[in-house]
Amino acid sequence: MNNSTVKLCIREIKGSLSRYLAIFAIIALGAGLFIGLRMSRPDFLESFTNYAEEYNFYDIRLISTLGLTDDDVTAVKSVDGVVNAEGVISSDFLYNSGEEDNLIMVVHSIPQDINRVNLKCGRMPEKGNECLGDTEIFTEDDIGTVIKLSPDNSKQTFDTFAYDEYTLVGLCDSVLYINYERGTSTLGNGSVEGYIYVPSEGFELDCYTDIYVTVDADGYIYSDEYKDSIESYKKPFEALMQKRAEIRYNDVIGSATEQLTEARSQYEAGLKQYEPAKAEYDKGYAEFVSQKEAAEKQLTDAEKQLEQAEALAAPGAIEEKQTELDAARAELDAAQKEYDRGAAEFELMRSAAYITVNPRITYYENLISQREARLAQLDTELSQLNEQLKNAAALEKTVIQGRIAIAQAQRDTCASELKSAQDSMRGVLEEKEKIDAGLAPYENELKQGKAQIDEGYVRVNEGQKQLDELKAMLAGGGIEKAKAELEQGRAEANEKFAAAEKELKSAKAQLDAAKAELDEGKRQLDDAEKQIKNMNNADIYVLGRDANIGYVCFESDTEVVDSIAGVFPVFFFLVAALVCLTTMTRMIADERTQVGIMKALGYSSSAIMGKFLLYSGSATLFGCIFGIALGAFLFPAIVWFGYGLLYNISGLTFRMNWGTALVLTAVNVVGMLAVTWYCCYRELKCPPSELIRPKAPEAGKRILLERIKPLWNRLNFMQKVSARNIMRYKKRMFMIVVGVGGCTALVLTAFGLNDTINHVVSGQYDEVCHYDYELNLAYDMNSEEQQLFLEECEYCADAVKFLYCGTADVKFGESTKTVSFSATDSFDFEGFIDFKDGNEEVSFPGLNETIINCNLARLMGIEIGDEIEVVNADMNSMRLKVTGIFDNYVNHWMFVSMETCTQQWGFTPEMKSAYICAPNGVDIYENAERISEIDGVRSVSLCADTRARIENMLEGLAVVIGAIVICAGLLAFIVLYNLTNINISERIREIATIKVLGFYKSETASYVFRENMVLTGMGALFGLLLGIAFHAFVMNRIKVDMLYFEPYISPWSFVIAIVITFVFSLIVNRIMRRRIDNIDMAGALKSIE
Amino acid sequence: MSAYVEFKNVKKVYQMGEVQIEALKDASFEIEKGEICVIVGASGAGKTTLLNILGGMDSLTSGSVKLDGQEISSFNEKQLTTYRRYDVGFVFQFYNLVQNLTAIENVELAAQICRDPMDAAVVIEMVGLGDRANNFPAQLSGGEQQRVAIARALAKNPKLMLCDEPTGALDYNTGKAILQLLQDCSRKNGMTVVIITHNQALTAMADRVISVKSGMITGMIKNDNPVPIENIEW
Repeated sequence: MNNSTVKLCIREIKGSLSRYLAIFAIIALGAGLFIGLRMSRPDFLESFTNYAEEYNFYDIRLISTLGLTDDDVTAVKSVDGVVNAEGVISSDFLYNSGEEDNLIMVVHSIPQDINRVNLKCGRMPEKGNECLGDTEIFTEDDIGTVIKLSPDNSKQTFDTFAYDEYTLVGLCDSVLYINYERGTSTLGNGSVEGYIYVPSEGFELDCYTDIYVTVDADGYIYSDEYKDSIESYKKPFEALMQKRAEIRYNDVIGSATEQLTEARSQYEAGLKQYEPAKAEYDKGYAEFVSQKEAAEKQLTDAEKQLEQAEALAAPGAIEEKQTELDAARAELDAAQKEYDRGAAEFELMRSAAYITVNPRITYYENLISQREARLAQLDTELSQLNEQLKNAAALEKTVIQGRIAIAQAQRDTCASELKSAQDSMRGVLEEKEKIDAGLAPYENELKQGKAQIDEGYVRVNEGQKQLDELKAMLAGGGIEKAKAELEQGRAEANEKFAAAEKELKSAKAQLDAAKAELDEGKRQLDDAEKQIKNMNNADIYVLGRDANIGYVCFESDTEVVDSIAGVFPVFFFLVAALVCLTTMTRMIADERTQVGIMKALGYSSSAIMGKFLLYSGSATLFGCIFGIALGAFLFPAIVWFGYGLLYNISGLTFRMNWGTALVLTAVNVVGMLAVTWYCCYRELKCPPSELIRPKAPEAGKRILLERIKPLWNRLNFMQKVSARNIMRYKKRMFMIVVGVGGCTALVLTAFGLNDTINHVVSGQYDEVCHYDYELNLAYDMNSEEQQLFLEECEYCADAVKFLYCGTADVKFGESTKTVSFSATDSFDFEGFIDFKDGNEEVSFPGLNETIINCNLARLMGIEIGDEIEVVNADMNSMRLKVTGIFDNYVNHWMFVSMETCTQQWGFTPEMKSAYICAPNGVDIYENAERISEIDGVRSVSLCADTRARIENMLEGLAVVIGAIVICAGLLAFIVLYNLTNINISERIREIATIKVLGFYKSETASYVFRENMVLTGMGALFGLLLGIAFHAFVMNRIKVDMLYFEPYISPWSFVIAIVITFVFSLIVNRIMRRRIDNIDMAGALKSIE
Repeated sequence: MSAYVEFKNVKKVYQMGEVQIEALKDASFEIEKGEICVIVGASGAGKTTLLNILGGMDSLTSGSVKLDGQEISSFNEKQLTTYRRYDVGFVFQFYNLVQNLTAIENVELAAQICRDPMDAAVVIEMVGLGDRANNFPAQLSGGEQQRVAIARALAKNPKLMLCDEPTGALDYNTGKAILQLLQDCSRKNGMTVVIITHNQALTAMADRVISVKSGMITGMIKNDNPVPIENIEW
């Protein structure tokens, strides 16, 4: 390649700048798009990595429902591989913004090391009641405003925070919230509005809510290596946390129990005070009642007496009464005298009767006592003698025996004497009794008379006394005075009782109040007790970054970009190569004569080729360099701009994959040189003499269509001409169909992407899931509790379905996937979930059977009738037969019957979840708030939130789609422009002839462009087919595990794709028309190339 | 009665960069209806410019051109196109047939935009190509192609037939045959035919000969006794 070659080439470039630029542009576009889209995701991930590193994004998050302590943090730090661990507090409260009440604000303590905040403006808080705000809801102008806890917050919430209001002193971004998602809350409607960061003094909690941990993890962000690495850390953390949780549980339960005990003893003391007071009151009251009755009786008696007195006070009545009394007294005196005389007579009579018996009694009494004394003496003697006899020697014994015999004889005599004396005595006493019996009647008579007389005296005395009193009274002042006294007494008594009653009443009121207070205390105690009883062992969670919504969304969003990058650029590349091929072929054909001359002059083939190789090679090289340089920045930047609306990761990092760039450039240049060489070679094979002569124009040919007479004859003349022209230039036809088809395909794919994601949303939430809320319940409700629950949510739920929801790993063949595992005792899902396979209803699983969603089946290759193994979090496993596969787009699901669980696990899982359908026409967010206030509801998640999250994915995609549409347009443009240009130059004589023949401008243009339009139409149709295939390919590549992208393209997208394609085609035609208009007829017809 | 074709003080200046080239300097001539007129001159004399202007393919700088009373020189582009469409038939040195159309289709191409065209098949028959009507140009010889070109011009039933070196690419015998055809057309149909050539020999067959040199008309001779074609030699 010598100097003249270069010079020639430069001149050639100058002479045909538009052709050179066309090659340059298509190569630049292809290379730029290729490298740009290829680098987008790596750039994004790098940017995220940098961001995560800068602010020290956590690797593992530890949560305990009972809170975490500094000891826990220390324990966590000691785990192998832990770089750092930091305890933080986060909680949430309701606040009122200017426009809306009771929005939810999540509050974090400002971390020192892990998940540091990125201060955007203002300053860091210095006091406990200062805060940094969320950049999503606050602007710089808001600094200085005060965020106040809404009065609707629970006491518990107020207790959590040290202050009731926080002053905004700055704004910050957080690596925990890289997108617009702010998570959910158990408060209010559950949808968090924003976050604020306050110093830890701003909280009044004695424990942390979370511990964030950074570990020494392997692998790049989102890589499987990283995931595995984190997964390997989870086990030890779980073990540690379990242990720590027990300690914490005991602490918390201990102190709670202590508090409870104290409260109970206080209550009991109160009760003890109350009960005696109550008893006293009761006694006092009884006394009051009896006193009152007694007083009333007294008064009544007095009244009666007074009445009697009044009766007596009649004239003469007293005197009469006195006379009566005196007469009675005289009678009594006489009777007394009679009695005295009778008594004296009786005494005389008795003493006379006793004279005969009394002396004998005295005699026998003496005799009996004598004999008794003698008998006792003899008994003593005898017993002494018997004693002596026992101890005495043989000689003495006889003496003593003699004496005993004497004494015995004496004793017998004495005994008989005593007996006879006693008999005599008895006889005498009988005599005396006879006497007494004879006297008894007289004595009785006397006694009776005496009693009568005494009684008579008492009566008379009493009557006298009454009479005297009456006399005295009458003498003193009369009955009136007594009456007045009585009245006064009554009034006094009444007064006294009224006062007493009042006192009692107030005492009663006091007692009642005390009672109420005690009852309340009792209720609280019961509650507290129940709470302690219900307080489970702390639930612990060891979460990775995949629990952070922003992190997860970022992965799936960038995944979409990557899958697009996989297919489109390759296609562009292909089209670029084809365009270059035709361009170069045309160029060499144009220069055929020149080539012939050079060859005739003796230039070697390589020298001649040099020019063309340099021409195409330089265009390709520069195109590649320009395209790569620009594309590597432009495309990531455009896509980043799109996602930048969703993500607040600052600073896009551009990376250059030099290897890819180099390979790309090399492939382009080599490919281009090969094409050029091939074109030249074909020409150079010919001898110079042939080259110098103009190449015979391509011969006309009949086309296949002409044989189909009925169709062909129907076409008008110009249509026949066009049809034949289209078929004449097969290469051009192929190129346009592919190029334009590519454009249509790209547009269709781009819009189809949009459709599919939309379809996921509408498919899931309009066709599959009809419920509005998923509830997490605090406990397994029995049927009574369920009934109660249903009553409570009567106004905020149309229908409620209780079921067990958990997660489980499904194993089939080699693969394992985590799914939502649901069990229910009755499959009445109507109105909640539609189980359908296409149009067919999926029947519910029986015993040891299950139904799974289609995406799971697709990913794992499960078919109906297969047996799968399911292992839940507690390592309980079951084997199930798949009997149905149902349509579902979000998440993996499987359903079994409770019976199956009971049989295979040996226990019945707790139904702690519920689906709820909201009534028609209510605001589902407000309604969610109401539901969350129902007893037993731990959390409410809204299907609408998930729906919004997926829909937001589309927003970021809009920019990507826009970029694709523009690239597709550029592609169509370059292809059409280039080919039309070539077409016109090839057929310039023909067009000139047409013009000379008197075709008007528009007729000439349509003569040329009719072909273009037909080809565009063919290309568009081809593009639709290609687009469907592309779309399916792209969708298949998007591996967002939890979402099932069923390829779906709406009819509108087909229409849009075709319209856009034709618009581009028309623009090209418009531009090319000027060229046709400018064709110099005379010149074109005169010369022969 | 004024002439059928009238050139009056026609001037054509081409601006080539900074240089002005006067292709025609004050050219004036007339042609009567039904005549065969041969315009003859050396290369670069300005005869093609003259033809272009007469054919409505180019505009003139000053002067006036009339055909059958119409002032062509004052036509705008659209009017010129209409003029070409209805009033002029062209025959070129290199035939300029549409390669992708058969002989008869090439004729139809012109005929179908005319107000009162002749039947394509008839015209093809007339130029002696009845049996080759359905051949593509590439399958025809040069003479045959030129016949097709003439047929195409004839089919339009134009007022004026302009032939630019119609024999230039043909061998002697074929050339003569073509000239014969043109002469026959003129005689049979009363067609006004203008032939441009550098070949002096052709002047013998003309009713009128106009000589051009360096952009000027150097002579206009009316030939009352044209020589039959078979007698012309070159």
